Amino acid sequence: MNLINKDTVIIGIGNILLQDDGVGVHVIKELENEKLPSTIELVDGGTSTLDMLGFFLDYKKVIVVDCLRAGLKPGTIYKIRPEDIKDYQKENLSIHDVQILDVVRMANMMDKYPEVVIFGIEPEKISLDLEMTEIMVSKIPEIVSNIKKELGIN
Amino acid sequence: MSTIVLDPITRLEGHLKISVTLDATNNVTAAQATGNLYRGFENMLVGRVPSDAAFLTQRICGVCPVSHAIASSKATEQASKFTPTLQALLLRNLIQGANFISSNILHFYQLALLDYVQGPQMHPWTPGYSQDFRFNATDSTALMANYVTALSIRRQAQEMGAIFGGKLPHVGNIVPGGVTTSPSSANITSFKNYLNTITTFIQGAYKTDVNKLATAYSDYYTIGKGYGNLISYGVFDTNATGTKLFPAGTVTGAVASSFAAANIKEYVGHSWYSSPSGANPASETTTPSYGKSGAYTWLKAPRYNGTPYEAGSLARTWISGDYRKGVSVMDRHLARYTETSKIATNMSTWLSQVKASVSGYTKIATLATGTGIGLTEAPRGALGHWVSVASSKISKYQIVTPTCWNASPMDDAGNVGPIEKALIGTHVVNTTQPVELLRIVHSFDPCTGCSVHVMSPEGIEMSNFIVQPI
Repeated sequence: MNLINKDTVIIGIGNILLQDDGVGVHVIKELENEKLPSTIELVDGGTSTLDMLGFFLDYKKVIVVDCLRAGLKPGTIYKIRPEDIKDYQKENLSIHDVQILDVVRMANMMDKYPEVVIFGIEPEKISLDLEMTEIMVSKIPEIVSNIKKELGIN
Repeated sequence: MSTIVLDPITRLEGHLKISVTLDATNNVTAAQATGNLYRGFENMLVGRVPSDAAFLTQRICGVCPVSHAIASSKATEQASKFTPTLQALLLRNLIQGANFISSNILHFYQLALLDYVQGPQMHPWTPGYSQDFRFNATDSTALMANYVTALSIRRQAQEMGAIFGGKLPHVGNIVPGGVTTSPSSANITSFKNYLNTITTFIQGAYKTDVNKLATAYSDYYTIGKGYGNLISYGVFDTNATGTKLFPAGTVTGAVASSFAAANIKEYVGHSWYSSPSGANPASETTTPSYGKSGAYTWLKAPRYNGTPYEAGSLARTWISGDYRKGVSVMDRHLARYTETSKIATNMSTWLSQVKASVSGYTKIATLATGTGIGLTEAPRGALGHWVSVASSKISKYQIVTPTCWNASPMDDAGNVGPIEKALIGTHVVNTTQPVELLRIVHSFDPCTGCSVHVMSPEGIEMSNFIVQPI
């Protein structure tokens, strides 16, 4: 992998064993079939959220795709930036509880301020199953289109 | 009488929930640890080829995957009556050592320290507890500066492990037969450079900071003792005849003794399983029964000779003789530092023994039938895999993780688990900020495996952020 030519990374977060929770990873798999500029790196982040820190230190722009539960209609696509979310409560007991927003803050503490855009998708069901719900599957093309729009490509 | 429930994942169904009962003077009289996750890997592995298990079981956990790969490989190697070469054992030690360092530094700075030091007055560190912070502004600033440095060191430890492991977490080359890599001299030099930087941090900043903590909170040498029984399966082979940097053993009432896997039994009287209780992992089955009467957790209760034991850094360093001051919250932190320093020093020796351009892998014949036990240590304690193979496929598999030892529930004889025991008797000064309980639970470095990672920003009007159709 040659980092020199790459300045943007797209990270999919989630657990594919837990149905809609895995949407971020499924989107990355879909993007692997797209012709994307060589400046873009695709990363299946799985559930190793904290291990994503390096990408926030090394890249100019980070696009995160993750499951996001806000209570609106399942399949709703949110586009947020970390600076939009100033208040959220947490109590970490193990590093499995580290959220991507914590990682952004850690990067900031290390004097790195990449541009971060988060595409969050409202889940319908999160339970043990490899298959996402139909509504989630049907949303994948729209999520991909939004990411390409964010990248300025068609 | 009142109760406190610490359920860190209030946002969702989560990992480890702790409920305690307090008496009129705010002393803990009872405690229950609940693991809210069903693992189920044992049943997934049946019918697969044994070598697959080293990859699949790493997915139990992204925090200590290397130890799962090693335990699984050792189990199949024992069933195959195969001993890896010294080159393989050294490479495993170096990858696992990198993972121990990464995990222990992360535990001290990112997970435990903020129970004692007020973090920056910004999210995600606020709102937090404000109870019982004792450091002055100068010390707090210095500790938080090292908190940030530790993030970078932890990252470098992961990168170091990936030099020989291919990647971290979830290495792709630790398999039955050894390690499928042949390190170049450039790899060895690169590893050495990382190790030098990391060792300087451990033996400088980490040593200073853990001692600072121990001085300011010396009362924590008497808090959170629990049973005081310790168990280690042993880890870091230093030769092909089974000598280990941290040997296997048990400590029962401060008396050190040997360890034999045959003495382990798992009880499910208070766990959500209907499978027989009190079986050795070699013959155990795993049948989930959620909601079973009298049960309160997915964790089983492993016991050694019927007795609860604590696993982790303190168990390892006590049995090895490196740290024997006591058993408490603070002793766990000091033991964790002591072993981290010792591992870093020994990694330098192992690195000098690794041969450039020599493969760590030996092909072993397909195993038709047999049984094996793979014992090692994860950063947070004793880890064992038990495998049975028939017709070249896994016919039975059982995993006992360190957090199963530590966060286990009450067993069938009525003995509570080690973390539960460590909480009982604790005085809580302010029941709205039960920081004493968090400090006790954190000192065990518990980890109950991967769950969901849904973001759930509270108090934000998310309708403002909906993407409009393109």
